[in-house]
Amino acid sequence: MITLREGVNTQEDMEGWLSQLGTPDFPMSSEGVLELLEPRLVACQCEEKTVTFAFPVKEWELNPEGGLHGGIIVTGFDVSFGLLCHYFAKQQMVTTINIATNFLKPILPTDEVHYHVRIVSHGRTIISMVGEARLKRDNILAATASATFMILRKKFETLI
Amino acid sequence: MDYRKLEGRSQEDMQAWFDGICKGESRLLRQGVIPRMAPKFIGCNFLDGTLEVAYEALDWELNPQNIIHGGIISTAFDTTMGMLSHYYVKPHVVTTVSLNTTFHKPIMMGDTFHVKAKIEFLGRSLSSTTGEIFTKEYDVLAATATATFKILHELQHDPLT
Repeated sequence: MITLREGVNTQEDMEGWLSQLGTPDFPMSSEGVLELLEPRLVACQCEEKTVTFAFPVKEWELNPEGGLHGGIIVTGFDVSFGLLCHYFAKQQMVTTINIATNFLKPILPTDEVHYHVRIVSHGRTIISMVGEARLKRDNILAATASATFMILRKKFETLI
Repeated sequence: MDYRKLEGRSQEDMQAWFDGICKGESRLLRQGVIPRMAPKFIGCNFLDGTLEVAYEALDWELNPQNIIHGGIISTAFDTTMGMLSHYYVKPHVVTTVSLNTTFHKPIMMGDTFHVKAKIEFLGRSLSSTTGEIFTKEYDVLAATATATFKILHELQHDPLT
């Protein structure tokens, strides 16, 4: 398994680490909500600090009206922002401080959602990001978000 | 619009409606993410425009750091604030326009967290709400949120109950 190393920020390393999403040994997605969401890497640009993940819409994620629940759209953003932060924070834990989402179009059970997120500012403790959720269907812009994450002093007990 | 003067709505009606939709075979609990989160109706106040719903933190809701995922906390806010808005405008359907969540303290697996939602303003086409999440018997403010819902022209004649 590829693990994150301090000071290593290359396109190849970023692609290699994020491509492990969904594999059984990858600790980021081996349990909890990420295991259920099944995100996969579409593309990333290390220099620009951007990444795009694809999330299928699953039946358990729907609202009573049969569309994708707004909270799950936020979850998709939070996961995407979080994975991008993790890559640059390496073995240090991160936490979401704030996430603001605007919902623009309904998302159907047959859709696949592409979350494109970007780091706007990376300080010593605070990371600010923006993102877009676009549908694979006609590239429709379905939601936008901005988020602030904090890099904690605490490190992962097992290497990620 | 003064939501306290809506025809056919009252404290008794509100309480009975939320009691009904949070249990059994209600449409709210028939499919999707809401039944997985097992909301439990705690109380409401018609005149204050408030609703309180409790959720258990479950293992499928964890993030890689073994605390409840921020997206799941947002889902609890969206669900509770959406239900509250829907009560005042039903049979009209509401849809979330924006949701802004701020996280203050982690929620651990096994915790019960209480979402308290309040209608701040109800207009003809928008509902503005605020929310707070408490854990540890209301001692810890774990998260806060604001959300805006659009009241659609569309009517839902299959009630959530």
